[in-house]
Amino acid sequence: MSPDYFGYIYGAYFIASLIFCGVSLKVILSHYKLRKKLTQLEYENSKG
Amino acid sequence: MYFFGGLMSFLNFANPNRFTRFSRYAMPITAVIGLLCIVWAMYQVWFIIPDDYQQGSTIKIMFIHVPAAWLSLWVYMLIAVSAFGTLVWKHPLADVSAKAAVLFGAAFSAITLITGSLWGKPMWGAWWDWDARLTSMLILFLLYLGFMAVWHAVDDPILAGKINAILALVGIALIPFIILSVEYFNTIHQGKSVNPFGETKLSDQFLYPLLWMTAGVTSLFLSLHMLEMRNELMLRRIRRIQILRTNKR
Repeated sequence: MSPDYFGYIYGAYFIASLIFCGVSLKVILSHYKLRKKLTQLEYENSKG
Repeated sequence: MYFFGGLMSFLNFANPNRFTRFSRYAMPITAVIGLLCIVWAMYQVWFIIPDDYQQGSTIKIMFIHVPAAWLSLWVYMLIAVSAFGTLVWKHPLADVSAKAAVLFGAAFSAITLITGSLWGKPMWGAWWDWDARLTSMLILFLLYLGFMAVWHAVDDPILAGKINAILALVGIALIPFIILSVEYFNTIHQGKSVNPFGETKLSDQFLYPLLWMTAGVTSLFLSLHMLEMRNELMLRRIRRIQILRTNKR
């Protein structure tokens, strides 16, 4: 691998992973947050 | 006859409760398949394949740039089909599917633009050029941002879904334009290298890791898309409960 291109190649992989992992993490975290909120609301509803 | 039978069974299958039950099993399976494909593709990219005779080691950028570009187009097609489902069949899951896909479409088109720029600088000597392929890809990215803006700006999700469905069906003309832009315009971007209906210019040692990577990212996207759809269904349920509570008071 030519050292001249290291920055471009690693930069591309780093930014792509950052964006994809960021979006995935956002979706996974909001899943747990929403599930917790829904469970709490349904519990409160069942108690009247 | 078979087509309409299949379509009807698909429509019957895709109700929110059945979808939730189906996705509980489908999500982990597609996530594991996706991760395995990506790991296998990355092993080949970093340890097996040689440098390209013209582009040298920068060919490694292709294995993220091209799958991201394909996915950004396929996600748009998914949104367009969902838009059709929203407007024609008024399917309860259609606008949920469209909303869930938008964030991923924006992410894939952003990855395409950024990695393309990082590939373009050493190969073309320029980060950016206002030619047909690059500009149309930028418009696709802006279109995704537009969808997101509508979802955030309009409180009623049904109305927002309808507005976005119309926007998606109008914007579908952009997809063939992006695909054909390298054929009919004088562009800095290279021509089509992989053609399922004709000659593929890419050699097998580059083509197979590319296809593995695409399969992996697609599978992972399907898994995350199902999760985001479940999130949206939960969000709507939360809103419904909160409205019912407010009405009771």
